[in-house]
Amino acid sequence: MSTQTTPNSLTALDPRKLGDLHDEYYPQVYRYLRYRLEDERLCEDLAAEVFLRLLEHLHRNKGEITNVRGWLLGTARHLVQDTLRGKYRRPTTPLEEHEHLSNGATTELDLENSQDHQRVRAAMQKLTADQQHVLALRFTQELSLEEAARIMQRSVNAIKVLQHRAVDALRRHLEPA
Amino acid sequence: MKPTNLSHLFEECDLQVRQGIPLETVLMQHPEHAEALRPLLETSQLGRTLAGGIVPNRAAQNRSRAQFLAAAEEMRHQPARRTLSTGLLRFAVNLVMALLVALTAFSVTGLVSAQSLPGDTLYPVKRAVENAQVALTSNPASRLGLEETLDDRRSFEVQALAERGRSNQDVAFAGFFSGSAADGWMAAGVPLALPAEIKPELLAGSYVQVNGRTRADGSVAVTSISLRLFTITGIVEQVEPDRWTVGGVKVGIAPQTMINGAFTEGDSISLTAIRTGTDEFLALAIGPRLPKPAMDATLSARGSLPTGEPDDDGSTGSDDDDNVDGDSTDVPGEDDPGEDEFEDSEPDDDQPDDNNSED
Repeated sequence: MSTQTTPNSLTALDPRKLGDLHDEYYPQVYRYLRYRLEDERLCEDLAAEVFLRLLEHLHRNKGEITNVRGWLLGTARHLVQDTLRGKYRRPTTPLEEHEHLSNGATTELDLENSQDHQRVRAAMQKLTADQQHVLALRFTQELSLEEAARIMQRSVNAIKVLQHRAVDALRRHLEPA
Repeated sequence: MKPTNLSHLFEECDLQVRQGIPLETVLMQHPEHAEALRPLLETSQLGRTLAGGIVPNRAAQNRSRAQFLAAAEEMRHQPARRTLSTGLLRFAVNLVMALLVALTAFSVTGLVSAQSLPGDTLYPVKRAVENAQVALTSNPASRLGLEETLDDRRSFEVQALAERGRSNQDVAFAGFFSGSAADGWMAAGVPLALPAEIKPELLAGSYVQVNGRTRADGSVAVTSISLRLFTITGIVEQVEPDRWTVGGVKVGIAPQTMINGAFTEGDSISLTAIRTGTDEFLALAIGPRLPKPAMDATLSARGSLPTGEPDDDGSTGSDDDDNVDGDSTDVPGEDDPGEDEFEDSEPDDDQPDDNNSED
């Protein structure tokens, strides 16, 4: 399913179409969130929230969305910013309380244990919000320049420059002090 | 070189690296800029490699899907807004307040019970909350997603009991049966100690319901094991020779499937199915939609494979069979009530305000 406009089946909240939409875009939304935020369970909460907000939008506005993926990733970005500003909070519980809920996703565990990943995440936090956004879009979504430009509402050239500066800033922050 | 030109060159070279051209080959094409490009391209490669390792948790994805579809179902059935008289309005406000008080109490209890395990005092509360969620979810796809999530939760609980060394605890859980005679047999990743009468080879690959008791070595001594049956009730949306779609769920039809009646698109039916793959179901029997008492009777007559030992677990074994037919309002989400909360997370405009992703 490549939903670029809002078909009637979505505005009518057709469960099959909505299920397909969730199947297609959840991994993309989650990857974006997880690249920007450390807490795995928080990212799962936020990913679910992104889709509920889409539903509210479809139900309330009945309006067209010209780019569903762009809308979802844009909303994900808002939630990340809210989180970083401390607007979104979830109750904290001791890690041991959640251990039994882990699905043993070894890929993620390996990732978490990677020193490289910790370094990159720490360096990413030092970039501007736009720089983090463009890198998360391009690294986790394999978006073309044109798609990234459409989502960020900028020209392709502006995205090229922003991306270049973001990678350069990331490189500088990754260098040993 | 102007920064803008370097930005263009970086994008061009980065694209080539992404297409699989070795970094050194790419840099050789631009020897005068190789020194500036190399660290940028290496940083980009590092960023992409790490992003590629992020894989969503399947259970969390299913949970989100079930929550999403349940919320959609609820929105579809929201009644049109009506004008209330003052008296009715006051009554409605009082009713909402009463419900809020009840829901708050329910959520607090749910929060405390959410982490409980079989044998804990609050565990029955947790199961009651889950049962209510299943009963209130009428959309077949949402319901299956919810049941799958709850199945995951049961197997996590068994693993948690093992990690905490809590043996001799009655448990019931479901999952795919796997393993071998040499390596031992498992269901949902939980090692099983099977009675001698069981022929595990017959069950290999099946999605099974296991009742048993935890042991000190982390395995479960099986008292009964049977194919997990799913009841799907909904509208027939599509009929194909080897597959029907019912309420958004695709169910395989075999020559042996018992179809009790002549059904076509638009008919309301109930069917009993087994799970043959992660997202695959095979119908055993199909009939007209049953009224609730009859449905309960059908569900109690679950098929099982002979184990030679009856299920002697009346508590945990029976309450996992929660396919109560529900035709009422859906509950959005299946997460433990009150476990997480959003606090003032709604942006001023909850739409992306800095992109043109919507009209």
